[in-house]
Amino acid sequence: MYKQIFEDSKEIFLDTLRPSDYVQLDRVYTIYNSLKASLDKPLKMILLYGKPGTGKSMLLSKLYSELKDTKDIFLYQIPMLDEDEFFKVLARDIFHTKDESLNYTKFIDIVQSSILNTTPIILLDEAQLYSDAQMERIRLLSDTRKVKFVITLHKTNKEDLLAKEHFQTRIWENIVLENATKNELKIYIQKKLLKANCFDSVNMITDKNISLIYKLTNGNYRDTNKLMHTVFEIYLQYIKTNKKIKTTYIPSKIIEMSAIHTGLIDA
Amino acid sequence: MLNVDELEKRYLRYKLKSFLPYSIFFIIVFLSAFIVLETIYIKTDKTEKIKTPKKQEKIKEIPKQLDKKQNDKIIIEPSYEFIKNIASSTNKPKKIVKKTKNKEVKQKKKLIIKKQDDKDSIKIILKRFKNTKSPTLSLFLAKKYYDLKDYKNAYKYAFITNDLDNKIEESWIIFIKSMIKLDKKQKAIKTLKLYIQHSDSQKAKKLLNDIYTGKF
Repeated sequence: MYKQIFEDSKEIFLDTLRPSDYVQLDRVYTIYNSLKASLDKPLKMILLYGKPGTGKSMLLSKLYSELKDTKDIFLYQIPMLDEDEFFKVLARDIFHTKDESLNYTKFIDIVQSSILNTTPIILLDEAQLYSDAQMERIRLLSDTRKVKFVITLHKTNKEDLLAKEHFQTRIWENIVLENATKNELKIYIQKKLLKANCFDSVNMITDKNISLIYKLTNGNYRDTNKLMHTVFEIYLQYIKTNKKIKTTYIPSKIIEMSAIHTGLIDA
Repeated sequence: MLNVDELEKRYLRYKLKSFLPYSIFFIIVFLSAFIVLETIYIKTDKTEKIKTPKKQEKIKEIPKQLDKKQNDKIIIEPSYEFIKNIASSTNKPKKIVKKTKNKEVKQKKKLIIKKQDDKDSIKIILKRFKNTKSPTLSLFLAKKYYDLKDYKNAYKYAFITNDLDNKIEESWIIFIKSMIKLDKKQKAIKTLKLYIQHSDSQKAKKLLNDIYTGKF
């Protein structure tokens, strides 16, 4: 019985960008609504930034999932580092143009000459990986007001500088994502498990467990997912090897073992 | 695949590492506390060891001091009594009694010594007198026996002395006095008158006068 519970619980915490795995928290929901509202404003660019694992990619995925049927929206989760390739893909997806000799100059001509009912929304994840020249071309593209960009950036000093230098005059909306608070983390874990009907696993998690998880992950969603995934993996291993383990609550030992395995604890 | 056994080992190592600073800290604190307490205990123990005999000595000394004080009080008492005596003379007889008692004791002691001396000396003198027949020794014996109120022996040795030397005034006086004490007053007066006629002794005259007047 427990094997299946732990299998399901483990799967829940796989670090995916599936919109179905999105957990709605009050604060994140407010941010999400703000982002969605910003898309209807005459903005050139929307910057979504925060530390790694704060849910930027998930938010972008959720936005795409929700709006793809109603809006002309395009999501690029993996950065296209080749510049020509990047514009070829955009031309194909937005303007349905298949030109093997397409470059930035040709693409900008296509954009300016295009007559579209709605402004296409381009969602670029991990934008900090794009080169400065490529970011400058993205800036010039947004200036045409023919396309709208929503880009996500990791919040570092370098990326802050990047945001200021390249997008200061163009960004209308600047949305920051933070790590979860302890209470938010508790709700996040509980909601994740309840989504998969893992009620027994929910009951196993105590406030002490939450405090320890929060201490280890600092409220980072990605780290929490990794940690909890490994916790249930350890449980499964214990069941497989017929080792005794508490099932009424999660012992701190298991969480710490998980943290060691995932690298959250340097042991 | 997650290796739980290996992970448990890593966990144990991590726990040991994480507890090591605390355990070292607690050991240091414990040891330092132990050392501090030990030194304090040793100091107090030493001081107690040093102090306790003093206390005992003090305790021992206190009764002595008290005794001294009590003695002092006894010594001081007379002066205090003296002040009291100024106010009232009721205590005077007690003092006198005390003093007189002491004096009597002293006197008794002295008398006992004298008696012992007299007896011894009489024995010695008697031996010597038997050997020498000296009137000086017989006069000494007469005088001693008279003082001891042994008038019979006093009369005897005074008679012997007068027989040995009839010119010793003192021997005749003791001879007459002993006679009177032995209720031979008329014989004593007759003998005294005869002695006065022969010697013209002033002491004999005075004694005769005293006998007539009742002074003797």
